[in-house]
Amino acid sequence: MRTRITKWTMSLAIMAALALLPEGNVRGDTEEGTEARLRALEDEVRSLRDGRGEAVSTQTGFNPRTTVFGDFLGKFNPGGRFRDRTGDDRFSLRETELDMRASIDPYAKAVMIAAVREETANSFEVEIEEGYLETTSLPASLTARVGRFRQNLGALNRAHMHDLPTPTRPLVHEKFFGDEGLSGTGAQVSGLVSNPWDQYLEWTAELVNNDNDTLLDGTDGEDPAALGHLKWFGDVTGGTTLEVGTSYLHGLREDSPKHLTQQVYGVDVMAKWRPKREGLYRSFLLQGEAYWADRDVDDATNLDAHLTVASPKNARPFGAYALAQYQIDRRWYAGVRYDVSEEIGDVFDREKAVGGFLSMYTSEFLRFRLGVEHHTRNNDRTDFDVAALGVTWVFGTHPAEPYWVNR
Amino acid sequence: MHRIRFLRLMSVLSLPGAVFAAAPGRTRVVATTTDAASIVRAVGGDLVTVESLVEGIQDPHTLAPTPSLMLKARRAEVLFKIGLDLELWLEPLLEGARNPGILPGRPGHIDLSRGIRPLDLPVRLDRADGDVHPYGNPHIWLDPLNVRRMTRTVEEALSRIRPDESETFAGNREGFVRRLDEALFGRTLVEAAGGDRLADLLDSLAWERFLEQTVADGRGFGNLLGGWLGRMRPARGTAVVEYHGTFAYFAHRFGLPVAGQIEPKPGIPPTARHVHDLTGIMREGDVRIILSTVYYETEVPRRLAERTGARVLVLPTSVGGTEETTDYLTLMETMTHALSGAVMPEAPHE
Repeated sequence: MRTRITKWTMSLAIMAALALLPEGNVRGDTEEGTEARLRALEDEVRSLRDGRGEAVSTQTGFNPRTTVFGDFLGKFNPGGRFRDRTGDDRFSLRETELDMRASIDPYAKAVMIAAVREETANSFEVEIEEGYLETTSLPASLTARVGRFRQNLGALNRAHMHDLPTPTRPLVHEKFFGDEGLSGTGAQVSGLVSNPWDQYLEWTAELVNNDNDTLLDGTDGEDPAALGHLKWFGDVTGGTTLEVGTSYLHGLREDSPKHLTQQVYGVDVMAKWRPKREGLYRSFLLQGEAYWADRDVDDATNLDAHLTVASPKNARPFGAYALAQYQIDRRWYAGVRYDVSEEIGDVFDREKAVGGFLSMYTSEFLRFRLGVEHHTRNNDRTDFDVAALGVTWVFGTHPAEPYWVNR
Repeated sequence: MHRIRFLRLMSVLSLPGAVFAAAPGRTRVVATTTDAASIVRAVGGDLVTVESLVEGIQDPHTLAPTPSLMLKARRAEVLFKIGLDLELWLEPLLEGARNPGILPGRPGHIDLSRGIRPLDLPVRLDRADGDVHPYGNPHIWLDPLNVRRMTRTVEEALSRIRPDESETFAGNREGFVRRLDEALFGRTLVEAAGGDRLADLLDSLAWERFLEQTVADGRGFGNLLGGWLGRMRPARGTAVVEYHGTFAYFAHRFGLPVAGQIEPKPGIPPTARHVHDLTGIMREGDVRIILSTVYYETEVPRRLAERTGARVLVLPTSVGGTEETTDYLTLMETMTHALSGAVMPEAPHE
């Protein structure tokens, strides 16, 4: 049958039908009148969405992307001992963060993150956790940042409290750099090292005010503190990546006439496995960091009176942690962390901790977490347990940065 | 002094090296998905080298930026993305890539969703509705008519970058669109009516009436319809349940009503209550097909199938999702073949 219809006659018939169909029917027919209106509306929506029409008629389009993070924690110390240290043995709205970010112009963008933190019971403090300007178009892969920012130290320091894979920061971070980790006000430059092996090798150099509360006892040195970080980031197999980094931090304590040097050396390793096909449901993370501090001690000015008892001119406290986390299914993650750290000002005061945690995400924007930790301190030969229940939530726009650093 | 020397050394080390240079004569392109890569290859031909970031077996919503992906993006002169917020992971990846030329707003950052009419535009933006896409469903490439429009975007972008080769890109596009049209409508109809006209008709309410028009010997255009549309025509009206919103454009184009989704809301894992409700919907509506794709779990679809007697079809939804889906045309060929075979197991499938 088909062979009897020549292409020529068929084409003529089709053309005739086509010529009649759209033109003849569209305007007179109710159904197609509706279609025409629909098309006009769709074209208008498309025009607005593409920014070709008068889509942005107000200034609201320039508002920064704004996100709010809430971090609730119930922390329990069953034995009741060491309440001086775990003074937050209660429910608390540990932190509320307001995150705003936007492009400034074609050459730079800005980020501002303000945190409202419950420092003591029912007492909140507001802090600018980060507020920086970052370039977006420097040549040679360079990026510069000025302002206040979380410093590029190790693997976990840049993570905000709500981004941590565990209920608490590692002991070594708390003891060496403070409860909130290491932040600084100053400048940062980073870039990629070009190499013949086509490897991802990133360097960071920072100069910040020399005023970290823990490491430098809150002294305000005239010379800035310097930090350098070098990271190799590679694919080991199709679904496994490995990051290896090394950090160096240098500062001076100038409340002493001798200009005591404070240095920290660090290494960090992070391996992630996430199968390509089942990546929604399975992943494994192995992470560890180790730090050595090298601090001049001035027994003459008695800055570290307890160290002068042992009479070292130089103290080298050490701290490290190792973390493993396994994704059980799309919602559940389980992990363990082992910590060991000496006090930054007292190498004889060593604390160890081992803990487990279980996280459940109802969605990308809500997480419940249960954690338990067992701590041992050699100084007074005692131990204690801490249990924590955390709930973290996010609302607002969806910043492209991953909320959960290890998801 | 030491610090200054250190910074000087670092700036020297950061200078672009030979490994980042593009191959002579070819524009280095990175595409976010294998589907976008396939479309760019079809238009760019021998004048482009295309790498994709997401593989066909991966969920394109949740890519983890890895070093090798950052290096691909770093080397690229142009980036093509699907758009509509499919690639939320792209911004951190581009930050790591440190390639200003392909950042959003730059000439080297091309959004393939421009000019596409999105489906599933939310009437409100509220996370109570799940992980909604504010600009509409982003799985646009599963409608061949959308791909037709996307080739135009690719041609325009490549011609802007290499104006001296614009005729080549136009020719490549024309050839690909011709093959696409023939695969979609069947060669006979395309030769007679022309692909552009057919595409316009298919995208209108006049399509069904057009198919009913008599050509000769009492035969209608519907008899001449071949390709994917011809193959899928007997399946029109077959209700399906799907896992996510992945098949929305495919179902829209081939007339498959979507009775429900296994995810209760976008991005929310299925709950027991929702599976129970969906079972009722499927029984009531006699839904016989459950569509899922290669990166979703199979346990819940299997359980639903056991309860309802429906059949689970795990289909590739991106190029490279299975071995035989080597480009966009073979992807759609595989999908339509599998689906028509499931709906009409006795029917011949050329």
